[in-house]
Amino acid sequence: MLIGILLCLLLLAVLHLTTSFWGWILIVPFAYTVVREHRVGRGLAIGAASGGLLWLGMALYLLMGDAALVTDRVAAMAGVETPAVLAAVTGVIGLLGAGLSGGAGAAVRSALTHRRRSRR
Amino acid sequence: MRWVVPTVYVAALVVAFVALNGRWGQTPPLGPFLNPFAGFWQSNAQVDALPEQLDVPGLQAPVQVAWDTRHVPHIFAENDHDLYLAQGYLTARHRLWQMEFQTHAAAGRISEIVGPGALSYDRSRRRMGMVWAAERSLEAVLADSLTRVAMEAYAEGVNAWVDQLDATTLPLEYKILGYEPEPWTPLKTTLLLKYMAETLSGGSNEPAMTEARSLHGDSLMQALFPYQAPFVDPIIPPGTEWAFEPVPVAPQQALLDPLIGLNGLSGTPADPNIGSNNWAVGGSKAVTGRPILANDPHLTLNLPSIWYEMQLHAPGTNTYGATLPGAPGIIIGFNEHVAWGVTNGGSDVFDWYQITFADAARTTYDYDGATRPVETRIETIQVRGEATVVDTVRYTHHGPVAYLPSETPYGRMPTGAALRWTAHDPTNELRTFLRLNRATDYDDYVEALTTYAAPAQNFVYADQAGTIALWHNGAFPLRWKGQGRYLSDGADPAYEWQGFIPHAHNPHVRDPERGFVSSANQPPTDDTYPYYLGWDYASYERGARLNDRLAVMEAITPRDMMALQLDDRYLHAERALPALLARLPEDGLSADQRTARADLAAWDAHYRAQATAPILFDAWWSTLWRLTWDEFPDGPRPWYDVTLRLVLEEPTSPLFDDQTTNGPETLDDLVQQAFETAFSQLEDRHGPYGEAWAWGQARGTRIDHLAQIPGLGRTDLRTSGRSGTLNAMGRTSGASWRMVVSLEEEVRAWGIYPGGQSGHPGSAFYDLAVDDWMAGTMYPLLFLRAPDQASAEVMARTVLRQTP
Repeated sequence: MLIGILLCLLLLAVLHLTTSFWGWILIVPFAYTVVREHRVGRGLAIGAASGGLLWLGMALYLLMGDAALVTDRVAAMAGVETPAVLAAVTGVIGLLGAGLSGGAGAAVRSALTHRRRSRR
Repeated sequence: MRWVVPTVYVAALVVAFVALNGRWGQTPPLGPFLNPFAGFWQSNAQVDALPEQLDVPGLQAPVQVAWDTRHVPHIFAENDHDLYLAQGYLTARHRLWQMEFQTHAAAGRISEIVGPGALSYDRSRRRMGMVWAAERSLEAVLADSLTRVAMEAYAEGVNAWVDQLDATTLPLEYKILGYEPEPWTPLKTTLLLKYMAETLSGGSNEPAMTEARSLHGDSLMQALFPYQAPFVDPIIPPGTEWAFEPVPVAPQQALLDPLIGLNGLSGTPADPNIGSNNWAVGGSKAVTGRPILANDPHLTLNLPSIWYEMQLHAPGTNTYGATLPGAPGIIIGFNEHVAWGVTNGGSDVFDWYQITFADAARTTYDYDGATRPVETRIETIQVRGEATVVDTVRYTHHGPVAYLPSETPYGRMPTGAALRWTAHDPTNELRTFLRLNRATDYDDYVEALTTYAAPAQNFVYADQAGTIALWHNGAFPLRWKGQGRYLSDGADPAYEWQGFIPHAHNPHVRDPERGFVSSANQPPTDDTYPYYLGWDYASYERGARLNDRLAVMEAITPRDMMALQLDDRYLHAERALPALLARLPEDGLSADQRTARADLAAWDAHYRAQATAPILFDAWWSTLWRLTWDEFPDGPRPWYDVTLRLVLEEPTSPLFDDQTTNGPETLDDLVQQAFETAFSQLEDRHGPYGEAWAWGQARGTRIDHLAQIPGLGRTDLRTSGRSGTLNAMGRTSGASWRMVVSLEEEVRAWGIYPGGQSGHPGSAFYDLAVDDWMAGTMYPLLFLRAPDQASAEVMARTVLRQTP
């Protein structure tokens, strides 16, 4: 599972750094688990860990660096007490989205491989 | 069955994508917005980076840029084309969203961004003919070689920056509001200039005045809304000789009895006292022996800031000052020889004409005993999330008919009336500013002003040779006295404007004996001026205070001028308070009220942020004012100056009687009642009399974001001053740019505006100067003579390189 998390994390990082499309967190874990993982729980975990860690980690990195001012203002716009809430929400969106993606991929793989496993 | 679970998962995944990718009400799409690699997180301080080189398509030669410590770009180009291209590029780099949003507002296109909530606003812009006017002016701008080069190069520069943006580097507001920039065109610049014209001259109280006249009659209106307001010290010193033969003007016509819908438009008009000041003192009054010029235009404040500082250098020009993001050139500033500044002129250049349509379909209208065809212009308003709205605007020879009798107007516009406005004419104001940027003497300054039409401004001027001057400048219609004060008859040719006052006849003064020139939005002249310009100007307080101070000041330094811009003494309070206190006996007052009364008695009429007397005087006077003018419940009410004259000179006037009671009330009754009411209301709002009543806290000033996005503005600013003091601060308005220029052998200047160079909310330069501005600090302005000039204030240098 750790390899899966690391692979997804790496691929997500590369794609996020080279394109502005946000939806990779819904695609990459799905693509990985549909090929490599048929257990839904593990698929959820792979996706959630990779997407959540990446988005939360990047948000925290920016929060403590260049984005301190803009997060203050966006927090005020959103009516939240502290900008850290924005990092948390970002991490949660990454975690839930990528987790769902990983789970969906694993569920599809599970269905695809069901007959093969039954035959054995 | 084995596909049930994956189907549910995949469906949930699709729903998640749609939900996170879509916009829900005012909430930005959460997926793209929160994406830490491209969303709002990336609209961060990286925008403040100053690269050594930038590739800018379209340049004819490299352009050198020196950045000072406040991120003001000092641009050195080899020709005008590159100068304005670089100006457009660098301005867009800092202010693109603001530039575009303002032009969308001017064009009536906000619904495209925010949806149907802005539809009535957008329709009003179309009905006012804003785009039509901008298109007409564009023709004039492109017909002049200087302004054509500037406009086209500026647009090229803006577009060079737009082309370099991607979803990650888009300014924050685009991410919040969920749209993308479009190519910049010269039309957008003329729209921006019309937007300023509309802000400064696009209002009228004719409908309200017409309604009030129908209720109260001519004589009372003449008495309470006089052509020459009391106590005024006009811009042009009384006694100035009018060295010209006036153009004859046709005599006054009968006043029109209105037939058209005024629609309860009798609310108080926009406050003319929002306040701007400019002045210049001659060398005889300055410690350096050279003129000093000061200007602090007051406007409704926003972030990103209204102005953007720049220095522009090319062969034939080296100028510094405040630019309007979206327009080439310097609007208020100085060069190596001269300095100039503006205040709003306030003369009436905006008239409504009652239209009598000749047929039910409104395809023709009556004029001069015949009918004329109505022209139509189809306006297409795109509305986000809804169907496009197609609107037909009818045009007469007067101008656009804003609203038909059956329609509900936006704001304070009448129905069934056509608008005649100088800003509709094909004029070229931009040329004025570009010529001022290059002016070397008084003749250049006057020549520059000749093409300026709208909005009418008071252009103050000073030069190194020692000349000081001020022109009340613009295109002023030739009219009989009072024409345009009420609605005009659109069917009668006698109500037409009779041409324009020749430019040379515009009120102006050069090197007056008193040693200074000044303006504070007050009437430009006394009643010896042979033309009628209007009547609804700022009241006397600021102009009189300014002239009083300048008259007695000697050996003036630039510091003295800066201090004068911060002057918060309110002449109205100084004059009214003794009369009010004399009518407020201590008997019957509570202990707190007696303390407050004593504080008022000891008060010096300065509106300091920490003083408690100002809020009480303000509430007391405004309550008395409302009680006095109960005859005008919805009215335009006679302003403070007229009321004060009544209090001081006619205290037994029957106008002080409350019409809603049986017994006669006197001024004393009203003064005491007003004090009780005001004190009680302030207690309800701020608690017991004490520190919480401090002016700066109780009144407060805020600077909202241009699109009113919460969190992107500044609130709770504790400022001194009020409208009516030279430091004319309001709840949402104030000095948008303070500038002092000393025309010494090497020009020195100081300036500040409430904001910062960057329009990016994630930048450290977004609101950098707000606290210093509030404290009254001004920064020395770095005026370079060469691109490589050494200066500790230069923090970085960038070369803009041409690319194929």
